[in-house]
Amino acid sequence: MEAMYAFFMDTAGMDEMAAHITVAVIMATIMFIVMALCAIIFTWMERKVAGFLQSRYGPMRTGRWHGWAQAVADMLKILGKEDIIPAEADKPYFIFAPLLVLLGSLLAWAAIPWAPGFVAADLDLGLFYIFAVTSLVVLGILMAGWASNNKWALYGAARGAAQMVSYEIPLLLATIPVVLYTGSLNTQDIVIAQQGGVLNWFVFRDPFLFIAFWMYFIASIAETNRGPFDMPETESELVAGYHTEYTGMRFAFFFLAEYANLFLVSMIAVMVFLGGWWSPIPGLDFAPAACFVVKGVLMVFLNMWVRWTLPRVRVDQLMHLCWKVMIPVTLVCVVGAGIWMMASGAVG
Amino acid sequence: MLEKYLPVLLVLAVAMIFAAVFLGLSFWLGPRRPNAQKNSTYECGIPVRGSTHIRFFVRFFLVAIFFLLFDLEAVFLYPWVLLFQPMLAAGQGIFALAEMGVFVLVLVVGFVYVWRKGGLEWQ
Amino acid sequence: METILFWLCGALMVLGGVMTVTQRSAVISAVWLIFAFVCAAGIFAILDAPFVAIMQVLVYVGAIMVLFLFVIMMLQGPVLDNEKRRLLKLPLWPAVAIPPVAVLVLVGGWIRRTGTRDFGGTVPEGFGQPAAVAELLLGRYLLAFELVSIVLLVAIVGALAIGKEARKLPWK
Repeated sequence: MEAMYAFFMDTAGMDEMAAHITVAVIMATIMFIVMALCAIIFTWMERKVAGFLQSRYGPMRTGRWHGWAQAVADMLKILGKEDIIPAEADKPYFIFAPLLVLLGSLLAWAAIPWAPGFVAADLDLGLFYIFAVTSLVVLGILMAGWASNNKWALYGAARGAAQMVSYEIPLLLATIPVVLYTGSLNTQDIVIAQQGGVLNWFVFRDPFLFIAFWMYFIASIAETNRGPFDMPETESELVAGYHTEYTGMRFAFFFLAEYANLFLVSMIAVMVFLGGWWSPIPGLDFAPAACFVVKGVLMVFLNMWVRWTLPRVRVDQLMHLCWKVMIPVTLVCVVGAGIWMMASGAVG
Repeated sequence: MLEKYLPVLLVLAVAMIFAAVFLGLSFWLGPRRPNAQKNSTYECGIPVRGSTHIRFFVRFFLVAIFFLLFDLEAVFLYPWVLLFQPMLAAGQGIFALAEMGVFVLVLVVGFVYVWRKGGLEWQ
Repeated sequence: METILFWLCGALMVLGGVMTVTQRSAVISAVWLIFAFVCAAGIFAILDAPFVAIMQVLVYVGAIMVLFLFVIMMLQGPVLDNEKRRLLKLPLWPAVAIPPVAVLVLVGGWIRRTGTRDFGGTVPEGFGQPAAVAELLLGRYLLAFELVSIVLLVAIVGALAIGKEARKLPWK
């Protein structure tokens, strides 16, 4: 980032504002491309993981080696699909809803620190900002369900929104103990505070943080509407949930947003609990961005493993788990981490 | 100040442009052969019966309002969290914990009340 | 640059407000209200108050509007009897519109008379940053902060009471 600023200001002779704008546009473009790549790679990965977990192969033909080109082919195919807008739909909102879902997740990506100094929007309130903009996703889903004018879509959207807002509370509360330690919401500061090997990562700092991490993990699965919490799209009862009426590119946006969100929550887990760009062994930090991405992909794998292993829960079980188990436990974690910090005299 | 939030605005703009490009591309490549059957609402393939916008289960309202209240609680925890370390360093740790303890305790009372009254059941 | 963005956000927010009150469908009104809220968050961010800006998005857009949408969906269909409907048709809008316009006129008049555009306040270092907000909230305004929890408690009890009552309504 610094190097980019220096390049645009000194070599290209821009003033500070122009350099800022140029760098931001470049970063945003990178984000979007990485996000699109993510969707392609993770769809393939999901199908392979699902296949192997269920003792089958998954895609094997397209592109010869383990069907690696399957997702690319799917993406190209979807470009050539007809974009159907149902006659009953509320047109402008039907069109706008997938964009809102995509925007919510891409805006949150902007505050993710990939490597020291390499973050599109370096905000003092970074973590807070991430949680704020992801709430746009909920609205996009509600809007999609409403505008489709389809009973299943609407019901799926209402379920999805209820689930996402419920699990947002444990998600917020689970990250609070970490912020107690860092004393800052800046995403880079949170990562920097975890320097020095695996034992300095926040998961292993104290027992409450360890519990908070798993609470965060469960809440993040629910937040991305994936199994075993995929109530919004239960295909056996709601056709496909809130995106039943969507086709072609607009459907692809929902799809893209789902995988972008999956990687987003995984990256937040890495950033907040798993040491961000630091490698597990102190002193081996020659490739911070690679380290960050590898950890993120491992979290995604864990998420997929859970999805394809556990059966879907019922709505009442889902709400029960959130309100009666996770919220009390995360609250205890917050208070416990505070007391632990005071008792152990650990600061910073 | 502004230069910190400018990237956010630009990410928004870039995302919009990319989305528009992809939609345009699919509009250009894809076929457009609408017919009444295709444009009808898909509810398991049978003709649609009744209005979509029926009234909703009151549970959703309760979830949304409890979410709002507990979300506010979490949001109010954040300023406290940011102040905890300075206060700890200044030897006011007990005071800091008490400040939040009172706040959380009042809400826990409300939470227990709702729980006991069955407000958290999904029936 | 800041001035341009400020006026842009302001103009879009007014547009959002106008669209909110002129829509027939309550859901579409709510969508425009979200738009207005996001613009308001933009204005807060420009005015060196990032904490308030993000609160605006997190609480108003993320929580209150979801609640609104659920309530609107819940109240679809014939909830109001004719008596109440007639009340709604009364031309009550002046009662809502006059006070804000009056305030605007008064403030505008005051600015004209005193000829001042500088309201005297200088923003201290770190103003609006999370740490500064936290210090005020947990220092000077500690009592108010603790009272918020009481307000939330009352709201929880109230919501539960309304929810129980609403369960008795006839469902369609």
